[in-house]
Amino acid sequence: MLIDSFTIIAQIINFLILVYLLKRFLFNRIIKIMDDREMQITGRMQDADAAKEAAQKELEEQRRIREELQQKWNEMLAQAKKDAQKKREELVRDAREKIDEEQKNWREAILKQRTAFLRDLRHLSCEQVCQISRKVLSDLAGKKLENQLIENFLIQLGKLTKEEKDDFIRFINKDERKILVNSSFQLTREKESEIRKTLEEIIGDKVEINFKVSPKLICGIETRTEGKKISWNIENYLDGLEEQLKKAFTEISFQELDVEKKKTK
Amino acid sequence: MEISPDAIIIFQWNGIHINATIVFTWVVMVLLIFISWMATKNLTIGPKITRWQNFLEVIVGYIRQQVREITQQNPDPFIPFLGTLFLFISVSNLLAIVPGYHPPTGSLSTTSALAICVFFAIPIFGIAKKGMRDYFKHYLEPSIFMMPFNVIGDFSRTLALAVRLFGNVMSGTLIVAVLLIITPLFVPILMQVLGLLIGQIQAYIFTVLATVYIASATRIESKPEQIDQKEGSKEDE
Repeated sequence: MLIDSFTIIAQIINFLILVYLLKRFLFNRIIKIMDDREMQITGRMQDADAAKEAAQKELEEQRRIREELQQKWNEMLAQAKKDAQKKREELVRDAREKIDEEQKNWREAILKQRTAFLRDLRHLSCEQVCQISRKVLSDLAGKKLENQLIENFLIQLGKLTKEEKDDFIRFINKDERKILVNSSFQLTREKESEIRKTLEEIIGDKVEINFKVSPKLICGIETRTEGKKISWNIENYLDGLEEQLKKAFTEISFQELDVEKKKTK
Repeated sequence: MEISPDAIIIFQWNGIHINATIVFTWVVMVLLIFISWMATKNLTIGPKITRWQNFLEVIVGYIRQQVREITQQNPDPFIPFLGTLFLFISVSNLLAIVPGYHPPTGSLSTTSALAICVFFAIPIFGIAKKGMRDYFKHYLEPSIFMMPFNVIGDFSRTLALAVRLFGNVMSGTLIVAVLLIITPLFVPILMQVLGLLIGQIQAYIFTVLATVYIASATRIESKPEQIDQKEGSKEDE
């Protein structure tokens, strides 16, 4: 009563059909879709991991590049500083050189000016000294100064050594046999003959002697051939004076320059 | 009042009698197949899925997880058989709340049929997995003298499967019928709710036991003692 063989067989068949149909319509499909989804998710996660890794790598790369750039930048900055320092030193050196050059020029200009000034001064001093001397001497002794001059000149001629005499004679023109006597003042006849006599004694022969008044000679007398000159001149004294003045000026100028240099420093 | 729906003959022709058990089995079958077909018609693997797909995925996923945990193997070869077993028993019991419906599982014929299916499925899965020789060798373990007991054990557990399910479902239906006569208000509802719960538990137990038997047959290193213990503990329920 409880169990029926036909029903059992029918139910077994029903169950097997149900297994087949559910397998076909439900389990296979659902399992496949679930597995597919799982694979897709796994794939996506792997992709995400790969992307993350790539991003990490990219980040590392970027960091490395940034560090490189920073390093390069630092290097460039250091180089630029170095260059700037070098340039600065160069400019300073150039400037210093220029300053030195200008200083030198300036000093040369000063020296030139000083030389010119000294020359003028000398000229002026000589003239003044001469005029004053002459005035004073003429006032005091009249013709006596000129005579004294001539006498000194004659003494000088008399003091000439043999070599000097020969040297003087050698320069007298053989054809013309002329000697020029220049004086800063007009010689008297007596003095002229006296000079002529002395010269002829030195030369030992007759020569043509021309007397001439030359204002160029500040105060003195000279005899000259074409190549030789014997003179007594106040210029000789003035040369000494000039030397003294020059020396004094130079010392003063350099002292001034040193003071200025110290000031600029 | 009939104990089994087998007794309700709906159609009879030349000795073939279609009873209520078979008819309600067909109803359950049609319902299951229709829902499956409808739900799996437009399956997607995208993030947006239909509610029916989601529902079925939850059920199938749960069945897979359970079978995987019990068998410790890839569950996919067993899923169509065990899944169908569970869904059929579960839906059969669930529909018991529909008035006029007699659950096919309340018939000893149906439960026997299911138990017979399990009885044959065990060696089929076992041989497919381990080979004929290795499968039958386990009857001789731990010694050749234990073979009759092993064979008896196979038969008795099949019988137990059939009777347990039948007894539970039939008793549930019967209790509701009896209570309707004694206290027609409210109490039958509670019993019906209890019956639904019992029906689901029985579906679970039947399937899990079938899984355990199949798992023991397909496990490479079978340990019959442990499985017998497990079986015993399940049967206590």
